[in-house]
Amino acid sequence: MSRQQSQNKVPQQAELDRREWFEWARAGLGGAALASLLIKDGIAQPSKSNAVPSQASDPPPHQPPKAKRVIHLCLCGGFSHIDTFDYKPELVKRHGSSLGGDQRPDVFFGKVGLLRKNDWEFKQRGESGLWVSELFPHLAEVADELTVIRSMVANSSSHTPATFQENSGFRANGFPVMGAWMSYGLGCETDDLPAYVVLPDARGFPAGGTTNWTNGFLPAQHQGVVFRANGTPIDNLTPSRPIQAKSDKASLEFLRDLNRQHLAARGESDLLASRIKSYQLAAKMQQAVPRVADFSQESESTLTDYGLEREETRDFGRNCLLARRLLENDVRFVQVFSGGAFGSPRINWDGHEDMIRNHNREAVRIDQPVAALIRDLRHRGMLDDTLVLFTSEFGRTPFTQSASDQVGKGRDHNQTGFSVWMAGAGLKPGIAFGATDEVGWKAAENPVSWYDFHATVLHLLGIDHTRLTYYHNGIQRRLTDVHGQVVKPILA
Amino acid sequence: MRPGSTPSVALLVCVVSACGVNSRVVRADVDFFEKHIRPVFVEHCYECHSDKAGEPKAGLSLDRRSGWEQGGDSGPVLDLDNPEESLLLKAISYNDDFYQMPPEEKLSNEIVDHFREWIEMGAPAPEEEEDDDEEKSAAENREESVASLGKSHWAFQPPSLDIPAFEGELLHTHPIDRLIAVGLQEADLAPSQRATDETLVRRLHFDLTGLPPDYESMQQYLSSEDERKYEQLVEQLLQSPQFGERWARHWLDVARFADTKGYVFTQDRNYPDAHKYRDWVIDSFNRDRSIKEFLQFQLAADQLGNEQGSDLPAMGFLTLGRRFLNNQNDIIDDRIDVVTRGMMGLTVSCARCHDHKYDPIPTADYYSLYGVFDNSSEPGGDPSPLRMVDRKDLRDAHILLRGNASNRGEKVPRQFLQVLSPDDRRPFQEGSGRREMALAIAADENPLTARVFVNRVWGHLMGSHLVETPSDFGTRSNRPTQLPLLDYLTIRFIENDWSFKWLVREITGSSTYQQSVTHRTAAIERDPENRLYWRMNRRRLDFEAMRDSILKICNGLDLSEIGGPSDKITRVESRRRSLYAHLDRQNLPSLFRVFDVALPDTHVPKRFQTTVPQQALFLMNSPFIRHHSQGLASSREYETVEALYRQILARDPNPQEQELAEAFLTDGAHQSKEQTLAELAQVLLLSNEFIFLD
Repeated sequence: MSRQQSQNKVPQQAELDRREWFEWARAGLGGAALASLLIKDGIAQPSKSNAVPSQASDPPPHQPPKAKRVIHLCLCGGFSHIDTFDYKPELVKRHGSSLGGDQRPDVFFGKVGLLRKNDWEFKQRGESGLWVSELFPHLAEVADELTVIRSMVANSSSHTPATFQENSGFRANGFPVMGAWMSYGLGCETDDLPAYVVLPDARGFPAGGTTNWTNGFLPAQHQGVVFRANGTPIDNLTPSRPIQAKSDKASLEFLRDLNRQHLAARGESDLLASRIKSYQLAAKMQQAVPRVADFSQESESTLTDYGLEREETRDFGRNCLLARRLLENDVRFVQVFSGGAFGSPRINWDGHEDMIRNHNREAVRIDQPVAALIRDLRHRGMLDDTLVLFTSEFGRTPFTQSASDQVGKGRDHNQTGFSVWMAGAGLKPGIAFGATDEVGWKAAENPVSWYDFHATVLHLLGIDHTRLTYYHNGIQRRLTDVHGQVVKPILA
Repeated sequence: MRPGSTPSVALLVCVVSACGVNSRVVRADVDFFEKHIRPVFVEHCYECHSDKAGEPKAGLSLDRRSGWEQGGDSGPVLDLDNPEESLLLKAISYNDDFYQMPPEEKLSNEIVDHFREWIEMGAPAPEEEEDDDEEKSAAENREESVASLGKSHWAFQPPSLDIPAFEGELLHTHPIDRLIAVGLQEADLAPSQRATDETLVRRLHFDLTGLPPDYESMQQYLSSEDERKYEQLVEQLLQSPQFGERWARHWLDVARFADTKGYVFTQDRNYPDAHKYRDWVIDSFNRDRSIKEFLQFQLAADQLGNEQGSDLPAMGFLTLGRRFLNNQNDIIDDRIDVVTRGMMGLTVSCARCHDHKYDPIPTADYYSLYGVFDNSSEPGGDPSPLRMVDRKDLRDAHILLRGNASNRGEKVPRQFLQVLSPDDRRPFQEGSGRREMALAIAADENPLTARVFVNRVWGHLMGSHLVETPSDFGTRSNRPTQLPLLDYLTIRFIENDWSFKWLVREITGSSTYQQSVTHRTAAIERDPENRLYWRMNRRRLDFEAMRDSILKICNGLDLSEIGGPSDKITRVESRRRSLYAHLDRQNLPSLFRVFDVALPDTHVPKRFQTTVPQQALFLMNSPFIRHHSQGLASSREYETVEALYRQILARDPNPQEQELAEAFLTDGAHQSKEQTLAELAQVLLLSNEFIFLD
């Protein structure tokens, strides 16, 4: 009872300033000295390392892995490929004319206006000469690291199903997402932290909410664990009142004994065992999370590079830096969301009304932090075995969402052709693969489906996408369903 | 579904005995095709392999006899001499290296067997239709396809009663147990033993009221020698007001209930009277209102309810959804969705932009229902702000092509769904047609509504549903392994005037429900998901039951008032049951999300059940748990290990537990006794025994 109240107090306001943040993170360490308990624990067999093994029936690697871990930057709402990574001179020429041809676009809101040229100037960048527009000036500086796919095709032009497909391969909900499959297939190199961590946009969860990081039918420990952007990363991380570490530890030991007796009397039970395990993980997280979330050892220049000093970039910069720190601490898959759910005012990339306003506002939040992340990973030698993904559920139309005789300000959803990029391990850097048609509407060369994209990601992780399966409801399920071809031309 | 087909035992016995009469072989063969093969072609293959779908993929057409007889680009698909070698059969069995059809998902083994049988029979099919058929309008084709699926898919058929008569040697006498026994015997499995009295008392308390039994009532039950004590306990719990509270929360998940409108620009986000709907649900369950009436009132209490208007809050079911910035089309879509998925297990809102991809629901049907809601308005103010009334100036709805409000197609009359209507479907006659729609949905003849409700109740009581997709009984749902059981319960439920309490009595009265949660290795190998119910499923308390139990045990639960305004229950000092939580769609507390509480954005068929470290952190560290465990320990009544065990787990500790706990208390002697007792109380509240239901 001798501890002072302040030492373990978790501030209640929504957001900490940086100094408070550091203080909180350090104080959290003292409040919960429980980790030794877990290593001694008999239920999760102690091993030399505390790695969590793969659960797959045919465990990877199926081929030599290039990447060990993944950061997925997931842009919600659909960013415009023709304003960012897919330069279309013909679109500039045909600005103000109609799409022409006899194909009737099937767009979400049904309005097909006139063609609109890119609103941000394109330039060739770096040694590679990769085209990147002025919307992403910082990202343009690391263009030589990027591997752009310009011929993506999605199966839905509706956000939520398209986002589900982007993440799980299926448009319906209830299927495990990439991060969950990786946790299941590869396990984790630590049990201090979850294998799969999700960092939602500080403004809110994406549409579809927690389904976007669901384990689906995979065991529950593979679901994404959300770390909040503001305030304490996880609720109740530290005790709500001063408590002696000794008695906390005694409580957990006692609890463990009780639960073991309970389990022993009932034979095996995944449900019971996984709850016992969740206490262990929770106690370890109490130590690990504050350590990872404590940026006090980061240099001033790192914090500045990630944009933590600037209002517009602070949220996303913090998440990018946290993502790097999580990966350094053996988390397998970190998903960073840019953009929240739909509604008004827009808080994502869904530029129906006014592309310039919308994309300027969203891009400035992420441009500098993403570039800093790439440089930082390169600088630390991590980019050699880390895969960075930068995607959105679909792109936007070259024609505007307006009356058929007008060049409007907004663009509608475009599932038929759009761009994503990857960077890092095992890829040919500084290239663009595939192409859309002259105006950037439909994928014209080497179309790549989400199945292909997922197959390629798994391939880079040493996983044959046809062999990572889970038996559910009478079928061996895969991330890639019954489809998927590795996009070999982009591999180093 | 078809008119006049109210199921009755006598009728169905006739149907069953008529089977096996083999009069006209040829006709029977064609029937086999129509029953087992053509619906599969229509449902799974036409999208790619029909002339009507444009160029058939791989040159293979499956919408005409010559199509499968000729085969496709890869050659013949049927080999009548060696059926197993037929490409069609290999493709659908996923046995071909190249073709695995349909690509989305392998068909069930049952369907594959039907195809094998059909090819072995020589692939019989009716003669090809005349050429002029191709000139039929798309609408006619659509109508045919609706009719065909309406005849073939299990959920559109009226339930049939088929209870096997077992010989006396079998212990099972309850019809549920007899039906369960059929499946178990086929799999060579035996049911599990009856659970202990302690387990059953706890199970019943939680299932029926969402609260734990206390030590005294447990002792009373254990010491009673009354043969009917189990039934009496069921009755006692059914009569307690907490029954309605518990089950209201389950229904509120269906009704996507919340206290706010979701995002709004400027106006007040709250529905100040939302709780009146919730309270009407509680009251309906407690007074055992017929579920038929319960459902009907939620759609049309303005025209069906009593004259005093006390049933008007029922319509909160429709009116308490998201407001989508007052976009009428979206509001109506949300209502169509909650009504059709929630009550009938049909995903009608899929047909907003195009004919339903899988189910027999044309877009026109969507706009027929749209018209019903479009002609209903919310007058606001007294007597109930939740109610709806019919508009005075009625208007027909137009189909909005591709769901686009600016792209109007033809007008459609307000009428019920084609697949659930008689062949001579007629438009609704009165006002908006909402009353007629309500009567058509909650009707004895509707093959879906009662089944859907029964399945939901079964799922809550047994821990898994008979139909695994409780809000989708369409053609994408698997035919339930235990369809005869679902049908039996449905028919009897209807016969018992849709009595909810009857249904709970019936299920809890079965040995199936009273089984223990045993671990039997051989049975697990044979049926790992317990689809055949060879044991009870172990369940974890949901958030509401967990929080309410902690409050009750720590003497912090206020049960004095049933219903009333919503409460911010995340406040540590809140003493209200969790179902009274104020639910803000815009800002659902992360605590609720961590514990899998249903998101109120749309109708939730069933909650996920996850186990994540944040749940453990809440129970270890939250102000809530500390506050209540300390509150308990500060009372003089709970100063011993025994007292805490009795209060928290409703039992005495065994000697080993007593010893462990005493050691724990001694170990903590450096702090105050109250503190150590609080820690002991917390550990018991955190234990698996407390949080899981055996």
